[in-house]
Amino acid sequence: MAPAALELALGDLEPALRRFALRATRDPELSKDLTQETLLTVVQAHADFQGRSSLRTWALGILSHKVIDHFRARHLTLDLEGDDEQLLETASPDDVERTVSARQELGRVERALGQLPGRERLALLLTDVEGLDREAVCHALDVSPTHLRVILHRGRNRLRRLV
Amino acid sequence: MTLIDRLCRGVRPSFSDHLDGQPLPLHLAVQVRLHLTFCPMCRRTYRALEATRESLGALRELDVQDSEVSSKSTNPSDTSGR
Repeated sequence: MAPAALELALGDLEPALRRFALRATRDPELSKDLTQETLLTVVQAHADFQGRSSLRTWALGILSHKVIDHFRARHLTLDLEGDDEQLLETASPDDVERTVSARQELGRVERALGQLPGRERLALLLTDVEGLDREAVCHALDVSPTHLRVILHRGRNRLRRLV
Repeated sequence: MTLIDRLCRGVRPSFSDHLDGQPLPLHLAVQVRLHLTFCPMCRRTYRALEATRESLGALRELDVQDSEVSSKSTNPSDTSGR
């Protein structure tokens, strides 16, 4: 990609990356830093970009790695295990009503998203918010398709209970 | 655990895949479909998951302000979702 075209594309991409980073880290300053680092990596490595995915998908994958690295460097927990029983509980009619009405009041969804364990939050952000396909999400999170299935199952059920 | 509980627990882990249109083994795909037709509790759970997924999709173009997240969660890996 020509430098001018890349600059233009990155300018368009920056707000989306920033939104993703902010939702993933819940930290405004950190999200700015990670977004800038990602843009820099894209500029430095764009010659290696083979176009098998869109530039946006590729950049989101890089940013996801940076978020995970940050969590790991600070020894922060990415997963929360062992509560599937609770997550599998039947939704009550009130649950459904609340979940459906959260569609109109997205602030509740935004806040509930912030309460999810890191890896579930990232998986939902990439899959449901950003609309990446599962293969790209597996690549971004370094997990197998089976593991991603479990993470999505847990994350959506946990979010359903939180909204 | 009753038979219906066992049936529910057998299909619920597949709801996310079913919602995403992921290919399921044929026996499981049929089981999920049949189960949803006769089990009102699982239909509710499925509907709630569907609404959750739709809500997340609606966030995509919605801007998020620093103030919306910074005051609500102090730990980026907050695992208090129990």
